[in-house]
Amino acid sequence: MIARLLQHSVLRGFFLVAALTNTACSSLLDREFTPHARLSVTIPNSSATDKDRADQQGTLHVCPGTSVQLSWQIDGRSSLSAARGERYLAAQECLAVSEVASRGTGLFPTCQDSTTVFRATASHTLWRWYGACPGYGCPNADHEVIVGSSVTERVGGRPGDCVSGAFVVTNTRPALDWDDRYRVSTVSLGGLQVARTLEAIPGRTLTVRHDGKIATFRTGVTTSDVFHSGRVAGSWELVLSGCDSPPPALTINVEADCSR
Amino acid sequence: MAVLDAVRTIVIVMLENRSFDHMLGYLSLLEPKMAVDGLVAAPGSNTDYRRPLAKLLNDTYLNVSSSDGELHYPFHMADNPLTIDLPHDRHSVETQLGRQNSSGYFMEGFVDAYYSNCSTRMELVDPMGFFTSAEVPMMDFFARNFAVCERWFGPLPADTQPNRLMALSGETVIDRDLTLIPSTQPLMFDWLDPKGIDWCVYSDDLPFFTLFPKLWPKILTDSKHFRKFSTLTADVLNVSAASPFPKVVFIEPSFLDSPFHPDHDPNDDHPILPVGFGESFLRQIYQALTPAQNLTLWKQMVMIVTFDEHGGFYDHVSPLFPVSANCGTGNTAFQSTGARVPAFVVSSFASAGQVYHQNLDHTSMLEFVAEWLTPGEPYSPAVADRLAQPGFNTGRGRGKLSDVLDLLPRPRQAAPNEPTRVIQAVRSMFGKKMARTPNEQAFEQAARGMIQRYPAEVAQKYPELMHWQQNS
Repeated sequence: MIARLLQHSVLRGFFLVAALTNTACSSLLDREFTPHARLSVTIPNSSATDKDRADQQGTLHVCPGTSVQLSWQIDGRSSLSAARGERYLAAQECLAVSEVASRGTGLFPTCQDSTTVFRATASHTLWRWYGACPGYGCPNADHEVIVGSSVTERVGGRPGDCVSGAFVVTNTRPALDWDDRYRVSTVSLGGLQVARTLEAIPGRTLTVRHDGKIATFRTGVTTSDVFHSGRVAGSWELVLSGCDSPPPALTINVEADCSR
Repeated sequence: MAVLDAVRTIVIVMLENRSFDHMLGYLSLLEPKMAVDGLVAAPGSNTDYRRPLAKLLNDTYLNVSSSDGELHYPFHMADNPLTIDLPHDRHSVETQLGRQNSSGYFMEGFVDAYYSNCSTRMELVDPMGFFTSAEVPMMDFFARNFAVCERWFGPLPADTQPNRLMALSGETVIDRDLTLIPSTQPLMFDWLDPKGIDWCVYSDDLPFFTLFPKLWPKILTDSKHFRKFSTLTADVLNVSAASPFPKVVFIEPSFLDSPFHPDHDPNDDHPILPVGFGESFLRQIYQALTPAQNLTLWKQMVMIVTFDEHGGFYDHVSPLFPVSANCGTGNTAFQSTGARVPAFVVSSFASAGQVYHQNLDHTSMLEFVAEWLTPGEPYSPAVADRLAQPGFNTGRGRGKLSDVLDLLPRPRQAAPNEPTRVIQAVRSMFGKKMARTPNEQAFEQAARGMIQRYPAEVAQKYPELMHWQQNS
């Protein structure tokens, strides 16, 4: 069989894998190897409650120099890696691929001042040796951690029906996803579409409620410091008065930095 | 002579699982723009669409993730193999379409559906990705040199099999992918054969029709009706008045869901495949159908290129509704079409750069076939009833494929030259793979069944399948 493998590998690389799958053990591999990876990432200093932690989490935002807690569950041969940079933009490895136990947790540094994508990979010795995965089953679970000393976060959503003379959108940011050191600096209208909606109808307002505070936007009032020093995490409620001509979405931009 | 008599052949190419905005939305976003209902940037938005700042693209396309509240907008994605296949079963499509009002669905749950199927969390999340001419040069070529149908909908908000069955018969006996399609399902061949209309399937691998056991003998031994794609070039070169091409031709890609791909990557565009393989396949088809040495077929041909369904990728246009469709005993009838899919009419009878705005879906092909081959008679009551439903008259109204052929009966004489640059795609699979989804299992079961019942014939036509079966 070895001679057969070598011959194939020299002639046409991809037949090597085909040959491997065509050995007597291939059905065993199929049965016992169902590639699957799950990865969750949490911020150790997060103020998230246990209830928050029970919820499914999203993209994380952390201040530079923060390490994050990774928990993984990977069927098949397991490895972790991390890449620096936003997706599709010349990502560079900043944490070498390292093999890990199929289940575990650990504290990992983020790439210095750069968005970091942690990747859990399910693989198998043979496929790893060859440098490829069987078929299309070699799933990765990617989890993006956005690292920055400041952040502009767009908050809002699509309005539904007009109820009691207003469109209401509620957008909740889980505490689990936000480094507690981020503090809001200013809040502004999210894009021209919202501003135009306010300009089009005299007296129309966009009221924003968050963290027990209220800011009101109208024509000529497009930024607010009301939420200064507050947390990003929590519920943001946006209320647009009037039922005419809603914009496609109600959105605001929340500027925050690691000032704490 | 009726105008449609100038058409001698219809070629149907149906790839897999991509939405209109995902593949062609860039046509209205990037120069030189075309007047399609695709993606449009809001004034002042960032133009680096690969960055999360593409968030500013346009609030019209906003999808909010319920789990973390993050806002997601379309972005320019790279043509890499995807991490997972995007969810696109009936339940997931319901999530993707989201809320609805009298104007239509909100198209707001694409990220939610994706997140419910994997633990990946990214700002730029796959279902919101779109390509540009750099990734889809053949589609760009088709759009600018022939007709693009901007409101062609997958017929059902469901996955592969029900949508393909609608394309092949105008009705479906199932509402989701199954490992075995019931034998009661009709096919277009059942309509063509009694009328003596010649047809042929060219397949690059196992055709979708392998899922129909009644067709196995034909697939394996009837070389008139089931031919390998590799013979297409020679067959077209031999076309003449005395030796016409079949009237109805299906060209089938190599399906990702097929159990074995012996010598090249699948090219049906089904995620997690990159689309480069499908683009390459479209170029091979176009080159085979338009040989400089013999343009006889080209001057008489209408080729439809489309996708079975949106595959879980974002599209901003609401499906048509109400459009009810029965889908088998015990299943709840569908109440709308699926999302839009890319669709082209590639023909010497279609003017270059035409954008067709009216509503079409896969059953419009059947309507066209009947209008052309049995004038005055509808394809079937099911197709006629479906296309008469109020939903098809929303927007700019119901379309007819024959209206796209605006140059009839005088065809363009020359076939435009296709792009010749190298189309790159990242290889991501080798040989065998495991069947996980119902459609993969259906292919695998069909292959095993065919081998069991017709071993000698399979060994003759698909020897690689015997090899696969012996070792799996």
